[in-house]
Amino acid sequence: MNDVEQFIIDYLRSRTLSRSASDALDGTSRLHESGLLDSLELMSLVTHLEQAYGFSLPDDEFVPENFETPRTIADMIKRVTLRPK
Amino acid sequence: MSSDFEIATNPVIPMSSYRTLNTFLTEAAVRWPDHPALIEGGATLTWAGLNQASARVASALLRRGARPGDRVAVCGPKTSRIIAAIHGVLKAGCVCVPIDPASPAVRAQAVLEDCDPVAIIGSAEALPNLRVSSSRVRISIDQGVEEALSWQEVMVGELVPLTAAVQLSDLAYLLYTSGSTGQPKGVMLSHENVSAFATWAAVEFQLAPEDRVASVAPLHFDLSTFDLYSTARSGATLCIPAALHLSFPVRLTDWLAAERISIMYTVPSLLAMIAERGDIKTKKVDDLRLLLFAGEVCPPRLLSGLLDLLPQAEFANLYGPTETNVCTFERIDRKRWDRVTPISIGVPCDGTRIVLVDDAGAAIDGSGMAGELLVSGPTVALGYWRDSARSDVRFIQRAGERWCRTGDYAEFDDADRLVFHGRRDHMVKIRGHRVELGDVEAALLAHPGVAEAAVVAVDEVLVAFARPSGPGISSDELREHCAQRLPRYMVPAEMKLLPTMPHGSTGKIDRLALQRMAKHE
Repeated sequence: MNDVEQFIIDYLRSRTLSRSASDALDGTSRLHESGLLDSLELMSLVTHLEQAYGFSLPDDEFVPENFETPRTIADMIKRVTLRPK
Repeated sequence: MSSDFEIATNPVIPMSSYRTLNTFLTEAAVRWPDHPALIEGGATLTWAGLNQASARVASALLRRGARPGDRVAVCGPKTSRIIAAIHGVLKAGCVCVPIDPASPAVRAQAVLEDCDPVAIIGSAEALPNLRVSSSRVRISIDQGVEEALSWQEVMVGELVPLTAAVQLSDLAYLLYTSGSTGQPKGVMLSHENVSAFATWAAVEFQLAPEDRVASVAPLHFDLSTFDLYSTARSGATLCIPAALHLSFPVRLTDWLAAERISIMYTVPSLLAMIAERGDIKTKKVDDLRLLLFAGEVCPPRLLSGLLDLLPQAEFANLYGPTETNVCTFERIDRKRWDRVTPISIGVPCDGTRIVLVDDAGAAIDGSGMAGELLVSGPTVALGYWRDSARSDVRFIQRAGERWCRTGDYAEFDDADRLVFHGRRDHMVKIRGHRVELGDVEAALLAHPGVAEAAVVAVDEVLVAFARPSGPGISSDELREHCAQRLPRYMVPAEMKLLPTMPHGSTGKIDRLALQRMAKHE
């Protein structure tokens, strides 16, 4: 597990009141089915990541496929931040 | 007799034209039988089809002992079936209690125990967690849930004649709101309450069968009554987006374009999501003719941006707590509004009367001074379910008529339009001065670098939370900005910048969460 992935998991844990949902979270947890990410939570997560990693998420990367698991989000951040400006 | 200072919009729509909510549906099925009522994914349900499906649900309930007036809890993600189920509950003369499928188990249980439902209708995921001794019937809108009727069984079940005629004064909905204590309380809405709003909205905004309405509000939120019943009143089509579309701004705007959505009614937070990240400029959302928003204060900058992004669309700010549904409204005048002044909540809806009162309950003229906004009219709820003590505080008799104390403060501007000041319970005393938290929030929102703002008071200290719209804004700068606009006692002692603002299930800013954050830090 890499740092970005852990950062995402920690953030999601801080936003849920459910202990069991929080404990069960790992890099491969299916986020769309988890109920942890409704539309406003997702917006919060994106803003949080943008500020932490200093990038601006392109609209065409803000798609369900990139937000399936903490791992796919971390992969996407790597891709976007390495992309030539 | 009306007192001085009362303002009213005389009824244009005769009360005799109100219909019970189930009648909206049966009439739509006669007038527009083959016209789409609901579109979800690639599937279409016509008005006749929706009416038939709801008749099967009503029959399933009545054959198993449900009686008019009994409560039926409904819980699940928004689908055509769950909407057909709600119509079925009303057709049976029962009372619909929508439960937020995302609500914590403890809260869902508190609602169930409070309303004593005779039946529970839900998704296969929600149903196993919803149990209460009063419930004798369980219907799964999917398949294969133990001890529950499947949707297929309900759809082929025997139809029974619907004998009891539903009256306008009958209870239609219990909508549970959390209130400031966090303890859920059920707002009782009659058929007349919802019908008056749905009828007014359909007439005011000229809904027609050609309209395609986006269903984005959750079913436990009063905004959804527009989606379900203003469409039924006018034969318009309600389009249900997939849950994932609602979460991803570009997917949502793609969906709005593909479904040729013409009307959407939502909270400002969702509009902000579309405006900031929806790439709306390049999407063809040209069919969007009307955007209605309510539920919380819309920052002027957000609306100003939307006016530019959607030059063809009309916008209206609708105001009212769940207890009155929508009672005042402001159609945004692109020429008149200066794009900086807080958006007015406008004038009373058809048949509604408004009066502003001071702390002693005496009517005031409301120019240059805010008073609590009282509402009388057909949308004012019947009270709180099984809580006459709370009802007596909120719903009062005044000059022989029934009024709802909204708990909101407002005043009149120079053009006699209402300006919202904030909640009564957001009124605090700071060093002896009365401070309206909404006024402090408005000052924060006037800063160009602030996207969202909320202020709470902890032990007579004001704590401000602001979400910056971009980098490069400091809390010192914000304090300076407030100091230039507000009396010293109104300048927040603490100014916290948050990357994100907490929101509750209906999309509004979660003030209890902010209160906790302010206390713990």
